[in-house]
Amino acid sequence: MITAIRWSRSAGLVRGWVHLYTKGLPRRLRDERRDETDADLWEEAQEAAQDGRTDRALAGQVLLRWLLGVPDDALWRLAHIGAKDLNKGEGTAMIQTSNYRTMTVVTGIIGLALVAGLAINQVIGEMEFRRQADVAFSVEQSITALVFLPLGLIAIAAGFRVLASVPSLGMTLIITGSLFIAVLLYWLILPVILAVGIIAYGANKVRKDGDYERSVPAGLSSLISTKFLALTAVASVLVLVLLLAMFGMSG
Amino acid sequence: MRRKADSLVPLEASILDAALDLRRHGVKEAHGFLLAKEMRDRSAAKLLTAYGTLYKALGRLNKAGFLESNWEDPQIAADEGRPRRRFYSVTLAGQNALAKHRETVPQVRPNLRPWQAMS
Repeated sequence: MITAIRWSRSAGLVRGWVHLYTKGLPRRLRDERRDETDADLWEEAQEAAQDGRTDRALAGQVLLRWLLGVPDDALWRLAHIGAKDLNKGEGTAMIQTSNYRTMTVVTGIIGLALVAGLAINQVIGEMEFRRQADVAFSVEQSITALVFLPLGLIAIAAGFRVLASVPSLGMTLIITGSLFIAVLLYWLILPVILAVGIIAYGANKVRKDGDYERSVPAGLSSLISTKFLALTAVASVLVLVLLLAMFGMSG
Repeated sequence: MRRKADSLVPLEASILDAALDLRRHGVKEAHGFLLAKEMRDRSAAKLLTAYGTLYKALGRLNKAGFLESNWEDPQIAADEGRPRRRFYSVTLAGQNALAKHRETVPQVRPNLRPWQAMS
């Protein structure tokens, strides 16, 4: 068994990383990943000792194996977001969907207020700049708006039209159309995107997965559900009204 | 793009292949490191599969029912002064999935480098 310093440090780093990304997971899931990595590190050191490899070579290999696996560790952890023990006896409370939603709403209100504030600030700043420079909308800006806005709207409409039959094309069209409009109305789109993200998160479903329960990230079906669209529309209108009110007040 | 539940990526096929090869040599169950070592030796690679990549793939194979796993008795590990091992063995579903994978990718053995597969 190699007990050299470099290997110990590398193995410690790997163990620390595994402890970090398994933190908060159900006990069984967490312990299994930690124990399995521990066993692997031990076996690897055994093999190195038998082969007569140096401490430096072994430590290098451990570091490389760790580094190359970090993206997969992150993906694995993402796939287990929201996983909780179903068995209360294991010391972890069962997931409460309503808690998730409350948290989402509170976070959403704060986030929306912040982003809307930023957007309003941007609008007022731009108006002030125009007033000082004594310039109205230029011809170029008007032409850009005339081209980009209809193009974007057509792409979005076409996207929704084909979404059910060809989901990938539908999503591509919707995203492309949104980008066209976002170029013109980024200050207005930003809060809406935030609202969409928050509501999508809040609309997550909870799925039983073996011994665990996990919240499933909102898929396409959640994104186009009536409830989701209604909530997004309400959020968008609220932000729009707020911005227009500020526009009118400052004008 | 979402993968089909019974489809295998090359790494997963390699894992199943390695586990079956070990079984043919009398090792009925293999732990993660042994599988990584077997894959490395068969492909003549210098590096073992990364920790995250290996255990994520093993987890998926286990969940899909292509591998079954069991933890060894902690007392045995404690007596030998080492961490406990998790042993994997290929199920019938795993063998079928591998056979299906080979039909789809017949010329390329997943644990061979491209130039080795061509020879």
